[in-house]
Amino acid sequence: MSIKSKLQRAYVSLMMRIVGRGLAIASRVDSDTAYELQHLPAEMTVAMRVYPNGPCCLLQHTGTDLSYLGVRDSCDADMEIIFKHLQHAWLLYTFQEDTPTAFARNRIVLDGEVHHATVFNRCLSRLMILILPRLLAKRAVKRYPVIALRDKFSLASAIYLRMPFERTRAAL
Amino acid sequence: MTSRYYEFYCPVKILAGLKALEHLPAELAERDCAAPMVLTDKGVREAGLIKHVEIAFEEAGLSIGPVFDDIPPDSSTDVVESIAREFRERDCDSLIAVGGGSVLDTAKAVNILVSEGGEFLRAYVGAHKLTRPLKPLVAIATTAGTGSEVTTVAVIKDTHKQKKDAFQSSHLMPAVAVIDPRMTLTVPPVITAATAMDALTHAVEAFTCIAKNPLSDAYASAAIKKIVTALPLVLAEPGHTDARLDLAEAATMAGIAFSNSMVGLVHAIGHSLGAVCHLHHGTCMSLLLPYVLEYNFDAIQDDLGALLPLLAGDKAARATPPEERARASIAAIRDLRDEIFDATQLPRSLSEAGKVEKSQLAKIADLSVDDGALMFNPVEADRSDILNILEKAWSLPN
Repeated sequence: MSIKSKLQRAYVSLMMRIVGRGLAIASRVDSDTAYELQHLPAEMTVAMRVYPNGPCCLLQHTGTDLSYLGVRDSCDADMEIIFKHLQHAWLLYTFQEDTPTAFARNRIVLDGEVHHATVFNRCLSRLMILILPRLLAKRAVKRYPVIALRDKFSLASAIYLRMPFERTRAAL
Repeated sequence: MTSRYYEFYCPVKILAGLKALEHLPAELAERDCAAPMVLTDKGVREAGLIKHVEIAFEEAGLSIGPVFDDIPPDSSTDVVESIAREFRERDCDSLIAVGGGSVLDTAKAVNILVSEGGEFLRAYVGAHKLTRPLKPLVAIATTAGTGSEVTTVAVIKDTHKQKKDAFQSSHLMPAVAVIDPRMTLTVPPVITAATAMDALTHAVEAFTCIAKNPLSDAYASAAIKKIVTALPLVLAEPGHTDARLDLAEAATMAGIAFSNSMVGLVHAIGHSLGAVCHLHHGTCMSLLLPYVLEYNFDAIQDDLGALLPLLAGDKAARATPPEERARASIAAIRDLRDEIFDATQLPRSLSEAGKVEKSQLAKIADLSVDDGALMFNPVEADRSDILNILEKAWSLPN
């Protein structure tokens, strides 16, 4: 593996940790994310992974919120969002491309039920809107919604402040 | 450096034109198949269309094997699982599907079970669950619209959960698709119009949504031109076999286009509208298409403008200033819709359809946001955006 690839893998792995923990926290502090998650079955596991050897971020819907199960080299989940190459995950996590565009350009494949993926994508978009500055978030989602700066700031603070303390949990 | 990338895949062998059905025995022999099972529905059988297939086999000194003709319009997992059992009991080795979208989707789902194994379809719900090539499936479409004969998708109702499950895999594509003008000759004008508008919507969404690529664009453009030219001819003269063949070819081309570039918001809402109100899918497409194009307008203006020569002709396009071509394309689709209404009474609005209650619109919007097609729409749409589109589609402007 070239140095560039090693650096990209390290960056993607770090971003997966941030996104995984961020989603788990958002599922508890943001009512919009919690509302979306009602549409996923309890105990369902969700993975975002890079083909073939990871990294792979694993989450589980407990029935009320999301648990962060960690970032690994491999994983097996009920629904998997699979980047066909490390470079594609790099594009997404450096906000050069949003998730729908990555799907449209066949850089990501879905292994699982399509309507679950649409729900998860809305949670992911919501997280990007909350934790990223507006300019970056606009590149990560199809449409940046109207959101009061005070709401964004308080939710972003809640997510960032809890992030160092968000534990990796065991699967149910 | 460009970040552009696309994939295009269509391994289906297409037999199109005069006596296309008569080539079937040779196609099966080439695949070492001698015991096909025929799947169809009562309507197709009563219209005498299976007779064409039987004659094609008799002329080759063969018989067509068991015929299952009890597929309902809204096929279910129970139906699929019982056909799969019969397929195994009778030692069949291939499938011939003769019908519209429901029959073709049922055949694809049966093929999953008889090729992958297992008793229950539930295990294969979703995308990319199939791991190997399936048994040879021949698709003979009797409506010119769904494009199912060349797509990677099957949609089947889960009998127990009362919801529709989608199955998606490149292995679901039939081995052979037959486009024979005899098979669509008896379709009533209103169904001909609705299915043609379904095909038109496939092509327009393939051309305007975010997964478009140069190859899907080529198929979509050719399909649009054929539909706009052939549909009025078929409505004026239902026995016009050349125009019927053009429509069927256009539906297949639109199918190839959207199978490789996906569809968008028209389908996301249309799937939910069909599920809640049991409105014909083609009717849903026909009455929603102009409103969704208006909703997407800012993002698709250039692509929409490029469609004007195909929708209204070169002369009309040349006479329209470039900045007005996108609006003129929507107007041309509305004109076609009105022309179809005059000929067939195909509804132009939700209220005209007579099967939709205003109180159902919120539920339709709720379901639409979870539809996978929404991912590929160029403009984000949430529940209130979709509700707004449905309100606009409720009645025609005065």
